[in-house]
Amino acid sequence: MNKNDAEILGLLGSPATFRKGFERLINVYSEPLYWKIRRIVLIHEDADDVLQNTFLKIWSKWSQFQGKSNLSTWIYRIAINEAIDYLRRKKNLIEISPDDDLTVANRLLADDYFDGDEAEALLQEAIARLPEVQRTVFNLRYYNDMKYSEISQILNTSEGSLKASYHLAVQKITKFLKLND
Amino acid sequence: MNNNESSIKRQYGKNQPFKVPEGYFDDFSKRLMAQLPAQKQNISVSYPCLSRVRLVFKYQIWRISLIAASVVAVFFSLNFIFFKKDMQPDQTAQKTVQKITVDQAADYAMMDNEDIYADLVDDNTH
Repeated sequence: MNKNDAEILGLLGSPATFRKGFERLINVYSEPLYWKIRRIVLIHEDADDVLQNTFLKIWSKWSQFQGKSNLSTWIYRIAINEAIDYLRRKKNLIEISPDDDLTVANRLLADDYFDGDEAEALLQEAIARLPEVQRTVFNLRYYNDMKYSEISQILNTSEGSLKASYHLAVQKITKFLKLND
Repeated sequence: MNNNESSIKRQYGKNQPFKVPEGYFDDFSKRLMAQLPAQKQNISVSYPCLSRVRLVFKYQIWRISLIAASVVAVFFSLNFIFFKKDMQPDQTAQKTVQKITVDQAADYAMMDNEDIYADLVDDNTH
């Protein structure tokens, strides 16, 4: 357990310091959680909503954290589930449109909080077209260099399945990029 | 690492093309803490996307059950009255059982799906 987690757990362990501990939790985890969420939902405003909901859920479900997993694993699991649930509820943003103007790539290029070029927008569209689990596995592995063992704990999926998901994700992304080159 | 992955990494790297508003993370903690109670309590998480239609399943299932029970009661009452009128004590021929569907009973009760749904949605908005 790292030093930050130990401090946070100590503060959260007492009602008198719970709120202080929770604020510390937000300070430590808001940024890493945000970027994991953002890569799934793509849009800043959506990521902000999901991040808030994630911490509200952590607050209300704190008594369910029994220390069986790392604090970070438990938190990341909540965040990723919230992001995936958000996508399911807001399907209209990610669904592929027959109208070229409404593709994910074009939406991103028009977004004030997207700093990439057309090629990067196309890569994000390729990732957005993946099924949810493949998209999540790809983002965690490719961008976060997360070990399969850690992803396995977060998604509660076997390492073998995750490796297969990642391999499929890479294949599909490559195929999409070649077709749209 | 396979060839496809290498190719993606060569072309795109791990560049982070997303930005956040200035001061977003500094401000986030204050915004969130302001939403939390002073002491640890259970709070509900709302999903703005679904705020227009909020289904209270237990209550609505109870209401639907009550409506359905009323319709069935009307149906059986009609059936009882209908058969009692027509039955002859010495009748031995097979009787044709007239099936009255729930839809027909509902029509008799002057309720339709739109009325039921409107009633449910109206309750949901309160």
